[in-house]
Amino acid sequence: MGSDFVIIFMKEMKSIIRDPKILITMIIVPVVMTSLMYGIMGTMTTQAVQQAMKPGGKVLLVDLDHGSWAQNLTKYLISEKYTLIKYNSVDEALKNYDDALCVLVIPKGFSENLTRGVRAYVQIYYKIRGVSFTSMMTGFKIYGAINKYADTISKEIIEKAGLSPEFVSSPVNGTSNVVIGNTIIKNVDPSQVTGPLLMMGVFVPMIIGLLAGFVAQLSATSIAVEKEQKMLETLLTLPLSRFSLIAAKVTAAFIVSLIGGGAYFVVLGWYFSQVTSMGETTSGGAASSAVLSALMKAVGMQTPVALVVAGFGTLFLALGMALVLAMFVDDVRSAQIISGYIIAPLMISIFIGMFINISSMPPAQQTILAAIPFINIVFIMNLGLAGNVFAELVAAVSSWIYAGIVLYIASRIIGTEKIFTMKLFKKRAKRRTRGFHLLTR
Amino acid sequence: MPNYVVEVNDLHKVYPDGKEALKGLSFNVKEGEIYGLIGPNGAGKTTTLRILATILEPTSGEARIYGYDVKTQPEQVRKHLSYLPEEAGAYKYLTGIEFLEFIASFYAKNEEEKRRMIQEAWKISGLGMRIKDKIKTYSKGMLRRLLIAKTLMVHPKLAILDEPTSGLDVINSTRVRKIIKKYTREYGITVLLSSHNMLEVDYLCDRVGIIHEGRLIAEGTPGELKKKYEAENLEEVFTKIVGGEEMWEVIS
Repeated sequence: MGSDFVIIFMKEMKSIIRDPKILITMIIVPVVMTSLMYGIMGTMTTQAVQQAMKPGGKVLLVDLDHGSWAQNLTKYLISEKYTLIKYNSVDEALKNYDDALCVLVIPKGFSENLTRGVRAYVQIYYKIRGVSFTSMMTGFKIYGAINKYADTISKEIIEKAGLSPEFVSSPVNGTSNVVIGNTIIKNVDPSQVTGPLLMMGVFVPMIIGLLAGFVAQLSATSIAVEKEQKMLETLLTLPLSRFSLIAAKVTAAFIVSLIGGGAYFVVLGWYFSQVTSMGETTSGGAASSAVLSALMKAVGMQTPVALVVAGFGTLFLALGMALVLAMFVDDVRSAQIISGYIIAPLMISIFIGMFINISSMPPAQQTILAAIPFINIVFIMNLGLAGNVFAELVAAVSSWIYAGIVLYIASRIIGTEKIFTMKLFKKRAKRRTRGFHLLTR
Repeated sequence: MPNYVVEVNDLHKVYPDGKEALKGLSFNVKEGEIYGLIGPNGAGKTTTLRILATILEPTSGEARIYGYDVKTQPEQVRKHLSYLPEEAGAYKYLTGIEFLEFIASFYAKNEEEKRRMIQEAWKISGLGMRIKDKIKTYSKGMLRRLLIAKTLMVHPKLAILDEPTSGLDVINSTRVRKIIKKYTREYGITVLLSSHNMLEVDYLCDRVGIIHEGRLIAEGTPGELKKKYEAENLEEVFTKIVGGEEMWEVIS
């Protein structure tokens, strides 16, 4: 009645959701706690930056110059909504610092220097009263105001001299064009192109690696739970196919990992978008999407497709490997340890891959490297840039072949007695009394 | 149609560590009978039951259930049996009723049959409303009763029970024995069980096989064995056969 797969799958989902060991270690700690951490960090950073960017604040002014340019600077700061409180000396100002942003000192000779065309200086005293991200960023905003003032007067001076401020500030300028394969993306900053490339070549493989870690841990745990709760013997004598058993466990582990991992990365993505979008304009976003579409045209649509296919293959490979190893341990704790044996080399492979310049290698060598599991997900973007479509195909297909082999081995092992007779961590042998018990009860 | 439900011929089992658990074990179990395998610790009882339950593979020899070879036709074998391991557990985070529903889903042909199985198991277990509680809250006795219930509710052709009353107190043990006897007689279930409790074996079993160091050294009805070895009870038969008396002498 009903499919074996569905029955096992539903049981797995119930067990995962209800088992605090799994729920806390796999879902609550990594997802909720990390989400909370990034959420708080993101909100606080945004607020701190917004606070810092908001003009105005209390500035303690020590004007030792009293000249026309000193008055000009004072007027400028007032126009920028700064409240200036005047003091006669730095010591006096520092004594009355309270909630001020800083003490701004206009030294004697400030106006004379500017009038004579000599660089003038102001002094800023910033009092550190505690370690707070918001207070530090807020305190530093006076530097921005001074720079802006310097730009303004620089422009006025240049115009008075009958020159173009734009010309004087940058007499020689370059426009950059980026070439990818045969495609030229014109008038674009290289950083706008390298951003999406890094995203696909580095960030996405790292996400896959982290997700694979989730999947490996959950699948190893799901097998170990059967042994720990002494259900494996019963389970293996039920009239159900071993393949359904493995498939249901794999699917449940995969879905929960995707939900958990997905939630984690949504929060992570939100955090980064909050941090990176501070001060960014809409036109910047539009420019990025134009660059992205030109980029996709250059590397071809097969590259992101290969990345997704190879990524899922890698997830199933990690999952299968964790299943195989978990079959030879007796409890959840050992399973968690053993899944680390997969996660560590996986992440190391990804990091190593980031430092290998596969693009400069001959196509045959690229194709061989593309067949190495785990590391190949990092290579796909570079293979796309090198135009080696065959190697991209090899990376995508080989990941699934490895996953298929490992999952086949897993279903073979669970179909044999090895799951009972082989042990990776041997328990200390208990002294057993030979003979027999007294046979009454 | 095979003559026996269980046929075991010259069964050998050597574990990967070289330990030889079975050294040519042979016995048969007839349809509808309760057959008890008894023997000292390490005699090979659990290994035999695990081989018959398709968990372990024999190194050599033959074991058949309803004519199906346990090594080459395990899927067919599993359709005919219900197995209760000695150290069985259950999913702690399911309720008793959810666990029974889970097991019943593999055997029931329709919803009605599944409901019948669950109702019957509920009755067998005697857990009352505690059946709706999570299994992690159950005592050892409650868990064992639940597991007995899940084994019998499916009305298997062959029930393999490894130490069915293991860990139960006298009252629970008696209750479980009565349940086993009642249900197996009522539904014609063949039972192969192992036990250390001679009272249990005497009460339940139609025939008994005494196993020692991987071989069957005596077989018969409890009455036949008592008569043959001039013993008052099975306990005495057992000690006479496996040399326990000598051991007791040494200890005392």
